[in-house]
Formats: sequence, C-alpha cells, structure tokens
Amino acid sequence: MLQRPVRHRPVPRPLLAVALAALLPGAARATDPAAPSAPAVTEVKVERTRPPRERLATLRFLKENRAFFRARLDQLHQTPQRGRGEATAIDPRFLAYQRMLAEVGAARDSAAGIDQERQGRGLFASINDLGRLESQLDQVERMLADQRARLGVLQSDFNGLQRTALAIVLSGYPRAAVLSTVSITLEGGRTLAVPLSAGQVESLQRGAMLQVFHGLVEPRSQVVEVTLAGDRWPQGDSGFVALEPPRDRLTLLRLNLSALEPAAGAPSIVASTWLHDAELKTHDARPEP
Amino acid sequence: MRTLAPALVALASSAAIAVAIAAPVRAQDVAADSTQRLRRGQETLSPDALRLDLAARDQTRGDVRGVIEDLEGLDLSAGMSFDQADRAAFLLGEAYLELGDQDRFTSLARQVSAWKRESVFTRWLAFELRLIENGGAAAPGLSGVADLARDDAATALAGADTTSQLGRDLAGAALIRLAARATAAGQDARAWLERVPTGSRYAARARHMLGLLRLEHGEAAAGRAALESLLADDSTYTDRRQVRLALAGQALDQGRWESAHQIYRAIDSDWWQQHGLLAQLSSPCSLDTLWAAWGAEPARSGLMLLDARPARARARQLAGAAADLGARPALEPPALDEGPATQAPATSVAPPPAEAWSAVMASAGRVAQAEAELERARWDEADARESLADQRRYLAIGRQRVRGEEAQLLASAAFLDSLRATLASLDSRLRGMRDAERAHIAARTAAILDQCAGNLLWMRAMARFTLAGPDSARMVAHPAGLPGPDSLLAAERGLAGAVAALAESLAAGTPALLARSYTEAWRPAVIDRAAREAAAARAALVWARSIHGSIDSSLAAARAPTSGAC
Repeated sequence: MLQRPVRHRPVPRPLLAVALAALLPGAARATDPAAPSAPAVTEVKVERTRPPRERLATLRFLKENRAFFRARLDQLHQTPQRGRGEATAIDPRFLAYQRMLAEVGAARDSAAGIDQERQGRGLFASINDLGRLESQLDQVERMLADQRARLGVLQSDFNGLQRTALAIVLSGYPRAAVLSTVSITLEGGRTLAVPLSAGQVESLQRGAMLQVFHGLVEPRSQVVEVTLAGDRWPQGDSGFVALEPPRDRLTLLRLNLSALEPAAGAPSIVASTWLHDAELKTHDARPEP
Repeated sequence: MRTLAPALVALASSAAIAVAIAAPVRAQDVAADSTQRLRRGQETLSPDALRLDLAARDQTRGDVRGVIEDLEGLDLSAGMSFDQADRAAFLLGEAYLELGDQDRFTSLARQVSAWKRESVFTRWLAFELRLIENGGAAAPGLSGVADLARDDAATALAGADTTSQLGRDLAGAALIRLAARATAAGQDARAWLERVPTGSRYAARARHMLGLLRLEHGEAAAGRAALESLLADDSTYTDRRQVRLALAGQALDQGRWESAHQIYRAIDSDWWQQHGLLAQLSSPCSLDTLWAAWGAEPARSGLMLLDARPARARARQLAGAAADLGARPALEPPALDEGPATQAPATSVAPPPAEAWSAVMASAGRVAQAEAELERARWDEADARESLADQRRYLAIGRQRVRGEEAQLLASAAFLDSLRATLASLDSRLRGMRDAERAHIAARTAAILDQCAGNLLWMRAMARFTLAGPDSARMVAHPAGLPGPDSLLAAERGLAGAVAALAESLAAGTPALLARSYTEAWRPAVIDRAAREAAAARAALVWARSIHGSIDSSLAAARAPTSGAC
C-alpha cells in the first residue's frame, strides 16, 4: 500500500546533444557520453604564408558553367505571358507552426494548472495523492518531450533553408601574451577586426567561446586570414587557414588561442572545422504529424 | 355489617345471573354485525370518542377496570364535551358502582347533575345518586331508609298510595305508628288500625293491636276472634306468644281453664323454643342469624328498607345496551319498592335502633369503598408488576447486549494491543517511504530541470544561428496571419521557463510537504489512530462494565416484591 507507484515510462533522451554539438562539440561529448555522435571535427593548419592558389580558377569555373549561368540570366528577363494568376497553397510548415503554437498554449495551461494545484495542496492525505504527483511529473516530462519533438521539426525546417555559411569562433586565451584584437580577412578582402574587451578576455580564459564572424560565403575553396594584435605583436601577426565550405551547409571554424605561443605567432593557433548537422539525430524522434 | 353479608352474596349472585343472562344477548348483537364497531371506529376520530369506543368494547367483555381506565381520563366537568359524553359518564358510573367505589360515583354523578342537557343516562346517574345519598347503596338492594319516628312523616305516609306494595307498607307502618301514639295518649286507636291495608306487611301487627284494643274495650268476642284468626292466618308472626298470652288471659277471665291451660302450654312450648333459639344466638357464630332476623323485620327498628335490586339490574342492563354505541337505549329508572319479606327465625331480641342501622350501613359503605380502593390498589400493583416485568425484560436484553459489547471490546482491545509491533514496522515503512519519495521527487525534478535547460539551450542555439544569422530575413519570413518560427520559438521558450519554474517549486516545496503529510496525515491516520482506538476501546470497556453493574442493580431492584408489594 505504501509502495511508491512504479513508473514504466522511460525518460526520452533529448535532442539537446544536436544543438550542443553545433555550438560546443567537445563540451557535449564531455558532459553527455550517451549523446549522439558529434559532428566530425577536422583539424586545419594555420599557415604562416598564404597557401598558393590556382590562377584564374574562377574564370575557368565560369567558362565551364556558362551555359548554366546564361540559362539563369535568361530567367531574369521579363517576358509577358497570358494567363491567370492563381493562389498557391500555403506552405504546410506555417500551418504546422500554428498547430504547434496551440499545443504550446495547451501545455502552458496544463503547467499552470499543475502549479495551481500544487499551491493549493496542504498535505498528501494518502498514497493516492503521491500517485497523482507522479502522474503530474509524467505529464511535465511529456510536455518537455513534446517540446523537443516540436523543436526538432523547427530545426529540420531551418536546416532545409540553410545556405552556405561560415561561422568563426574563438576559444581559449594565450597564457604568455596579451591579445587585444583578432582580425579576420575573408576571401575577397573583407576584413573584420574584433577588439577583445576585458570581459571577453575573461570569458575566454574561463573556457567560453566567442563568435567573431557568421556570414554567407561561397561554396568553394578559400583562405581566411587571421591576424593577431597584442603586446607581443604590435604590428600584427597573421596566419592563413584554407577552407572549402560545402554548399548549403554551415561550416564552423574554431580558433583555439590557448596554445598560442608568442614566439610562434598565429601559426600556433589550433584550428578545427566541422559542419553543422544537416539531419537530426534523435533517440525518440516522433513522426511529424 | 355481618347481617348484610348474606344479602350482599345473594345480590352478587343475582347480579351475576343478570349479567350471564344479558351476555349472550350482547354476544348475539355483536355477532350479528361484526363490522359495525369497526365502521364506527373509522367514523370517530376524536380522542374522547376513541376512548368511549374502547370503553364500550371493555364493557362488552365485562372488564370493569378497562372501562374505568378508558373513561377516567375524560373531562366530564365541563358538560357535554362531546356527543356521547352522557353515555361515557353513565358507563363510568356503572363501572364505579360495580367496583363499589361510591365516592367516585358520587363525585361523577354530581358533576353530571350540573349539566344542562338531560338524557336517559343522566337521569339514571341522578337516580342512583339519590339511592346512595339515602344510604342504600352500601348494601345494594337494601336502599332507602325511612324514619317513621317523626310524626309529620308518619301522618304523611298514612295517606300514601296503597296500590303498590311499597305504598301499602308505608301506609301500614305509618298507621301503626299513629295508633301507638294514640294509645299512649289514651285515645282510641282502632280507627288507625282498621285503616292498615290488608296486603301490607304490617297488617298482622295491626290485627294484633286491634284485637287487644277490642278486648280492652270489652269487645271480648270480637277481640278474641281477631286474635285467633291472626294465629290461624299468619304462622310467621313474630309476636304470636303475645297473642297467645292475650288469649290465655281472656280464657282465665272467662273461666275456661282447660283452654287457658292449653294456651299456656303452647306458650311454654314456644318459650322453650324461643329460649333454645336465643341460646343458639348467644354464640358469636350465630350473630348473622340475629342480623338476618332483624333485617327481616326492619319495622321493629323504625325502618323501612327499599329494594334497589331491580333498579341495579336495570342499570346493568342499560350499561350493556349502552356498550352498543350505534343505539340509543330508552330504559328509564324504575319505581322503588320495598324489599321482599325474608324468611328469618323470629326472635325476641330487640333490634338495633335506626341510628345503629344507619351506622351499620355507613360502615358497609366504607367497607365497599375500601374494597374498591383495594381493588384499585390491586390494579396498580398489577400495573407495577407488569411494568417491572417489562423493565426486567428490557434490562435483561440490555445486559445481554452489554455482555456482547464487552466481549467485542475485549477482543478489539486485544487485537489493537497485538497491532503494536505491526504498527511500529508500519511506521518505519512510512518513514522510509517518505524519505524515498523525497529523494525520488528530487531526482525527477532535477531531471526535468536538466531537460528544460537542454531545451532552452537548443532554442538559444537555433535563435542564434538561424533567426539571428546572416539569412535571418528568409528564415523568419512567413505568410501574414500565420505564425512564423520566431513566434513559435518564443512560445517554446516561455513554456520551458514555466515548466522549469514549476519543477523548481516542486523541488523546493515537496520535501516539507512530505514531512508535514507524514506528521499530520499518514501517522495520525494509521499509527496514532490505532492508539486512539485502543484508548477508546478501553474507555468503552470501562463504561460497558459500569453499565453492566448498573443494570444488575436495576434488575435486583426490579425483582418485584412478592405479596407485600401493595
């Protein structure tokens, strides 16, 4: 009679690892060994000199694909046509969002009802009350599981819209030098100078990551120049990282500054890249309704 | 009083015979229409009418006590309080008389006499009240004492109607009284004596006195003839010896020695016979005979006894008829008559005076009243005994139930005592369950908070890399009127926050709630309850034993005292 009700419902494993892996692949592995496998991380070399590039590669690319480009340019010409405009069907994604929004509202109401009952409960008069509390906890867990399912749907939609992009993040902080500014020069000459504030430096020292760039790039081979400025490098010290971002994927480049040696300069930066997952890896993926 | 006893016995027998004769008639009436009383009962709804209905039923059964108990509760002092009040009063009065309760009858009859409405029942009550007030009811059947010692009464009665026996007797007695007074005054009393009616019981004495007066006035032949004819006609005349003495004296005066001798021998024989009779009467056991002799000749005491037995018989007949509530009997009170002459041995012992007779009758009345009160006391005793029997039965049932309760309480107390070890184990399990539940809830809420944190982190990542990313405009674009992903993500963040707050409040409040539940609900409901019930069982056991003792005492008190209870 006094046995606590046995719960048979397994706790669903979250999709959290997917998002964490996107941001902190190493941390995700460290905190959740049972998490889905993290994206493959590729160590890249920071070169002292700019890697040699094939000359006129773009021209050859354009020549090889000129038929395609002409066809695409032809579509830009306005040509009058006869016909009736018809309404197109609404993207089912947005209808699904409306339904999911209603589910979120219902879940919030349920949570508020549980909280209100909790506030009004003076005692657990019997074991049945404990069973009811267990049922409420089960209900809360179902809410979270449902939320993860909805987030998975949203994540999948976002992935479907993904274009070729690059995100550059900094991690760690050199022990033997003071780093004041990190400049990123992308392919095409655009340069981003990111001065490190005291708070950012402290965060980096504590293990945080600092995003310095997130933007669209072309899906081809390119070189990113990293320039450091600080008390050891008053005139700047540059290094070069060669990348080839795949089409319609988010490529993340991590520059770990913790191993930066004042004598070695920028090439002592430990760099690595990985791709944001295009697919969700879930343990309890639910079919999209 | 002792002389009246045979009369009472005789009258009681006659009354019983009268009832026995009347009863079959009543039974036949009832059998003729057995539903009549039922129908009448349905029609009479007032309490007084219902009482009368019950009394009529008791009257039919001859249940005097039932009639009295049914009708005594009626208020008859305020006149005809209901339609059949006169019938009820009559039935109650008759029951009183049957019981011998003159006092209550007198009180009732006087109340009824004040009523304005008159009926056959009220007239009967008034009639019987007069009989009692004249002193006759003490000996039912010997009612109405006339005192002839008063001259005005004697003169008035001398001219009474002689068509009835009572009138003849009254007139005879009065004429005898007037003749005696005239003789004492030296006047000629023959005229008074010649007026004495022949059928009167005083006719013999008148002839005796008239014979003597004629002898005194020198009418020897006429006087002798009168006396001799008296001896020849009435062998029961009490003063036959005096008649013979007069005749013997007359024979001596006339020189008829042989005749005088024979008369004196007869007188001597009569004297010896009287002497023997008196010798017998001198025994205390023969006083009844003497009273009977005096009662047979009330005139010697200056009394005249009226015979109320026919009236009583008719009253009983009317009471029987009055039990039929559907009929209205019309049986009027009869005329009174003198009591019949009774055969009793003549005696020369002087009878008691009228005052003594009145005292005797008053004493008899008190005896009857005492017997009535005794009968009522017997009723009360029977009621008390019945009540005591009921009480004994009630107490015996109660004692049996208390014994059962005691046994049950003992078993319950023993069972509750045996539960102590079990309860201690149960208490330990309760505490263990409380602690386990506290740890379990903490683990679950922590897991929920972890999940919330993970979901929130995921949402922040999506917001950063997509909604706030370089392609933000395309990511958040959505048709007008429909929610976009940014709206959905904001709502999801709110839900995760609410769930996290709920989990935090559960994690913070549940341990104290569990501790309070154990202290205020679980333990009191299980562990403390058993202790409370054990204490209550012990208290109930003490109470039951106290009740048992009280019942035993009450039973001892309720054991009816035997004969001396009244």
